[in-house]
Amino acid sequence: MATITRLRARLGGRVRELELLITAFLFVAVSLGALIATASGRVRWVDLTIICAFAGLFLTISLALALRDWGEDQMVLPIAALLAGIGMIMARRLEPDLVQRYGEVYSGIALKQVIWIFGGAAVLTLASFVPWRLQWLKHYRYTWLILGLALVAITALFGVERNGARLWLSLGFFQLQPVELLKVLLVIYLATYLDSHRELIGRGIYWLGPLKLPPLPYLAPIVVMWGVTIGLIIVQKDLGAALLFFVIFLAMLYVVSGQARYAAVGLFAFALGAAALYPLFSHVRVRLNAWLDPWSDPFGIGFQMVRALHALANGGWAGTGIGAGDPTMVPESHTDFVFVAIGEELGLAGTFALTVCYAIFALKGYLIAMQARDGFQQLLAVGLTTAIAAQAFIIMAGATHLIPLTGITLPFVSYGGSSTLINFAMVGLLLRISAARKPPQTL
Amino acid sequence: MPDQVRTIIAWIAGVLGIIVIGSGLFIPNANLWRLHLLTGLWLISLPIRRVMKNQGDTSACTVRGLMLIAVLGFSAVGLHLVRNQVTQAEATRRAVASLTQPGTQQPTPVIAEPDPAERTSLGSGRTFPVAISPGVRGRILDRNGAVLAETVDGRRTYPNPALGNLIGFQSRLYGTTGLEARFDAQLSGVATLSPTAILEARLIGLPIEQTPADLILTLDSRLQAAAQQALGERAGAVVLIDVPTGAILAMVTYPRFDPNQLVLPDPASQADVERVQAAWAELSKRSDAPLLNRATQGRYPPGSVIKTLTAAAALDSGVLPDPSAAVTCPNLLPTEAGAPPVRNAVDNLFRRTGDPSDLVRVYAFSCNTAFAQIGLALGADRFLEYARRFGLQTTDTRTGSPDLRDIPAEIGTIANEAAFLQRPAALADTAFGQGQALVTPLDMAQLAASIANEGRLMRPYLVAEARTSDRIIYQAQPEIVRQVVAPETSQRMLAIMRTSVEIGYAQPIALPGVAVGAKTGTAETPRGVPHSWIIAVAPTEQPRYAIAVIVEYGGEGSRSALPAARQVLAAALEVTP
Repeated sequence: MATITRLRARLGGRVRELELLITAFLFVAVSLGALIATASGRVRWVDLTIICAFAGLFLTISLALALRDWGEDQMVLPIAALLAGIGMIMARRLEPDLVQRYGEVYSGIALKQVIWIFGGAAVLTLASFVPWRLQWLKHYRYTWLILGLALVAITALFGVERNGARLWLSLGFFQLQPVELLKVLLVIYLATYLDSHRELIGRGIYWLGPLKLPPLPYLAPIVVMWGVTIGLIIVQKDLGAALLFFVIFLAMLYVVSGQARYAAVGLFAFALGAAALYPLFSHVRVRLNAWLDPWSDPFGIGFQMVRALHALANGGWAGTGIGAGDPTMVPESHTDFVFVAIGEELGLAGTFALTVCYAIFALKGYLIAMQARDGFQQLLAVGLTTAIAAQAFIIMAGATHLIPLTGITLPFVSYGGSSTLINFAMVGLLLRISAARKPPQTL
Repeated sequence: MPDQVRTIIAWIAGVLGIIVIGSGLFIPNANLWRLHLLTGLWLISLPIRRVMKNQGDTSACTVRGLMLIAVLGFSAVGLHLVRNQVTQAEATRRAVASLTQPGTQQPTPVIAEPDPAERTSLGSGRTFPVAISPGVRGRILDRNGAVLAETVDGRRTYPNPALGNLIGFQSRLYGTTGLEARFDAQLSGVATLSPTAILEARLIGLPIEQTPADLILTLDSRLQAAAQQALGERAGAVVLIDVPTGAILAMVTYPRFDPNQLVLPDPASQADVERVQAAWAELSKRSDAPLLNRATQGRYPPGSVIKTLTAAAALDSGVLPDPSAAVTCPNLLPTEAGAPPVRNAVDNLFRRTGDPSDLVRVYAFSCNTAFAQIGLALGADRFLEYARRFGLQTTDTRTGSPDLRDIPAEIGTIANEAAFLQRPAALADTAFGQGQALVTPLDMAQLAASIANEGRLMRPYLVAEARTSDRIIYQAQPEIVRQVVAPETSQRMLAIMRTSVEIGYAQPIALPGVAVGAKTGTAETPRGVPHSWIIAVAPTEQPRYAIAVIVEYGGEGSRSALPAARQVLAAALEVTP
């Protein structure tokens, strides 16, 4: 009897997550229904199975979290599920159009994305249920750093080249994008390093003009770390990742030092670096010119952006309706430009809702950071949240012609295995950090 | 600087930031917009940062700073999306369209103008599958605000019982008719509901929130009463039209019915139901058809009134170059072999008209043989064309809807079939008022009104507007149906009609101080006693009122219809007869 009462109390403690999850599933189910109604008009068993499995998987995770009763945050998981659901629907919607327009390469992406999402849910379960200690991340920091750098190096040497960038490592059945993994490893390494040198970095010893600099022995590894990373990424021609890593680094540095000036100087340095790269690298030049005036070369460098703006304009307030637009007119509509595809089919309402989702996710993530137990967990939470929020911002602003376009995925929504798996792993980590009642031996 | 001043400055900066962003939304230049956005967000962040500064320790403070940056960043994306949509979507579409080759450009789809009848269809007979409370319903008022229908304690009452044929009734036993049916959506408050609200109500099954509108009619209760009194208890109809607009000022029909006797009280007892059923049974079986609105649905032979149409057609088409053109008025006019010749109502009419006479005088003394000749000179096609312009059709080719849309109305006919008029005898008969023509009193009032209105036929209407407590949801606009004759012809016809009052049979309608133009009509009936007709306009210098009166079996036009019309015009012009 007492057990039942306790179980009831535990389930009652996570009602909000359940409600939000059900809302997300309703949205996904309605979208799927609308898609079936406009596109094929035929309900396939595989669609029903997938959507039920999708709902069941996340409900099970939520239920398990409730029964364990560690008091994790209740909004992060539903937002991730909603975004992943939208991504699943978009992949399902775009696949036939992509196949028709660009060829057989794209056949099967809908099913693959479903597999990635389920895999992501598994990774999330691993991160939050397997009894491991967060301290391990701290203890093996150099392992993580070297592993990350090695991955990038291997990719640079043996990677598969696609679209002029060598970003993929072929593992036979699956092409890994090591940059995604590097993102998490970088966050973990920076969190451990910055936390253990918090005092020195905050205090400052040297003066460089108006800047207080921390002692060189402690500053050096940081400078080297991002220098090497960014250097490698420049070799790999992945501007989006470079920008993202840099933003993550600056955010974490800002939290540790409390000095906005570091961040400002850092951004300025990045802009200087980009300006220096401008005459050297054609792909940087192309991106910047396409941003400054896409209309000057609407069938060349500006093609993607002109198409994207046209798709958004066609979407209007409420969109053409899912399945009723022509989003594959924009190249890469399933990955980098999925936000534009959503803008065309769900309209301003859809893109606005998506933006709000990411904003809430960011706020929740930073709240988790504020309530974290120790400095390391706080920095980890800040890093993970910034990684997802900044990535969302960079690609949403890039795809809508607010900032120069740098190709990265829209977290959870874009098609892509590495990014989906890693994003769910990050959510798992965030959940673990947010657990207010976790037993001390798991710290 | 004291802290308070800094706070105030920060808040002013925040407001300034909103203005900067708001103005930026409308700048077509993308880079300038980005500058506005950046500056605006920075300005807005100032007061927020001031508020945040005073709370928490350093590390919480920096994380909160990140939260602010995240919110501002995503706000920037949201604002950019809004700008893309609100102010730039059209420009983008145009720019993309200009990129494609002119040949490949899609033609602009022509959006078909909805049929006017469809557009003003305001929901008669429309059913909503939602619970509409009949107890909530707007009032019906005359043009001066006098109440003609209202719902008191859930029961519809009609303070003026003589308007049942126009306003109709809302009865739980016999449905909704007349204006009550035509403007049901406005009166019940369904017209203002959005489709989504209706859908919502359907899905959830809740009663909808009705905002009933009051109907304001064009009727003037004073003139309506005068017309009612003038017609008295004789079968017939009176229609009084405001010439410049086509608004119907008075419309009387007799016999009529009291709509109150068909409305059930709520709750209703068995006795109430039986009383209403008995009243309905009596009304529907009476041979004098009290449910028929004779003013718009009664179809009568026009008699000599139609000579106005023939004369206007002759002048407008140039068959008669001017009103003084010579026309003869013989006692007998043979038309075709085998057909009886046309004869006048009285012999030796040429002694009054003069011989040879002119159009003015043959009109004033209503000479049949003269108008038979004019009709034959016009020819069947031209005569039919003018009849059509005045709104009269032939039964076999009747198309379209009546000009009056607010209540049920009939379209008048000049002949059963167009071929009928091809026979000279038939054309001659029709031209002076016999033959197969069947017209409504409203048709004849419109005939008079269009001649008075420089040849423009206005759409007649009964409902001026529908108004909820805070706004007008329907408003009738005076509408020209068509130009039937040239303004010059209309001026000549007015003069002819005035002369008809000065020297002719219509003389008794003359009013002191006002120039009236009129034409009487005596329509033969199988029963022997003719229908008594008149149409009149006044004042002829600047016509304001047009009237048509018919008194069934009232004898000659000047005997019954003329005094009634005179009485109504006197009331309208506020002169003592």
